[in-house]
Amino acid sequence: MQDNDEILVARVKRGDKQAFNLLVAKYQYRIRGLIGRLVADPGEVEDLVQEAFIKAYRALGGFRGDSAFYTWLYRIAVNTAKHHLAGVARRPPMQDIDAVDDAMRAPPPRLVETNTPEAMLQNDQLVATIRRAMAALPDELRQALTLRELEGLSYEDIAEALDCPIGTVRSRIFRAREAIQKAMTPLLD
Amino acid sequence: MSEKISELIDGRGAPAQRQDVFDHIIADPGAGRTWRRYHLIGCVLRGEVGPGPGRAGDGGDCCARIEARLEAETMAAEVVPLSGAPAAPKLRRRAWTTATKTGAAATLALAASLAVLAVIVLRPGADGGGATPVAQRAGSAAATHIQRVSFDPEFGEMLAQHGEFAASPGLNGLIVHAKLVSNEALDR
Repeated sequence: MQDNDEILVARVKRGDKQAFNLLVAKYQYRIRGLIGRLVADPGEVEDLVQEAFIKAYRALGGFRGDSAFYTWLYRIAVNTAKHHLAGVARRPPMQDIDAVDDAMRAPPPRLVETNTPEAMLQNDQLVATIRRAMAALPDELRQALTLRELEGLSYEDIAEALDCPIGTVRSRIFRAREAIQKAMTPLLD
Repeated sequence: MSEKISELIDGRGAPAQRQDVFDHIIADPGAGRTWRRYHLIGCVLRGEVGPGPGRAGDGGDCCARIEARLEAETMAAEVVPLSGAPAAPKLRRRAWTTATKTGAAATLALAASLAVLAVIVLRPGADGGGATPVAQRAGSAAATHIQRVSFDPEFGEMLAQHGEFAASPGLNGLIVHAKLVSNEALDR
């Protein structure tokens, strides 16, 4: 079965530019984190994130789907950061970077866009709010969302683990997300 | 709709259904916001986003900036339909490369033909001795054009001195030498 990325990539190839926005929305945090670990200057990270996505958009016509979309995007982002570092005559760190290693060894990235004190506070608040909202969820909702987001289990596996119907799993995960979203909304709107 | 987006994020639903939900997310800004925020929640829970410096947001800014840059580039480059946009530069490059290779080969062939023609036309005594140039006898447009060109007398003299490259009656000059070289190689 086609995964979401395959569907979105196919749509972009057919000319649906908005579909690319959904890919950006999905992967921007990971790409920002990746580039943030390669490029020391937080002020440059945002530009490089955008550049990586724009390069990806331009090259998407040549993406044949031999690898997962994120793997392909990851390479573009690493190359973008490396070229930037080469341009400023610095030694590119983590030359033989590997997606899995990178995810394991690196500290969590930040929602870096600017690093003003207000921005730092807002970012910290948002992350703290999401974590607090997660902790405050009823057990059954938190368990369902944890098994899905952290363990990556399918609805079927979660249903088996929690001994409940798949429909209940679907509902619990949705309610958990909604509750967290409601908690974070005042910080975003 | 939010429940369908939640399911979609988890990869649930038939492709056709998912296409419908994607359509809705693209069409409805509120649904797009939900898509971004659900992904942000997942990233924070997985530790892909942590506390620290930075302006927080649900990623809408980043999407908007990228969209604006792509839009600006599209307008600047007068890229036609969006469907061709990602592939278009590559295709253009390919076409350019192919055209260059073909063009180079054609240019070489043309240059070689003109060189041979020039040697034939400018054989000693052909430019003022009243003899009819070979090219004129051929009667082609190219030959007529070459005939009209007035050459430097020193150039003509140089050609006369290097008579081995000038054809005597016809195409003998260069071809004879080529045959000689060929035969020598074969004799060995």
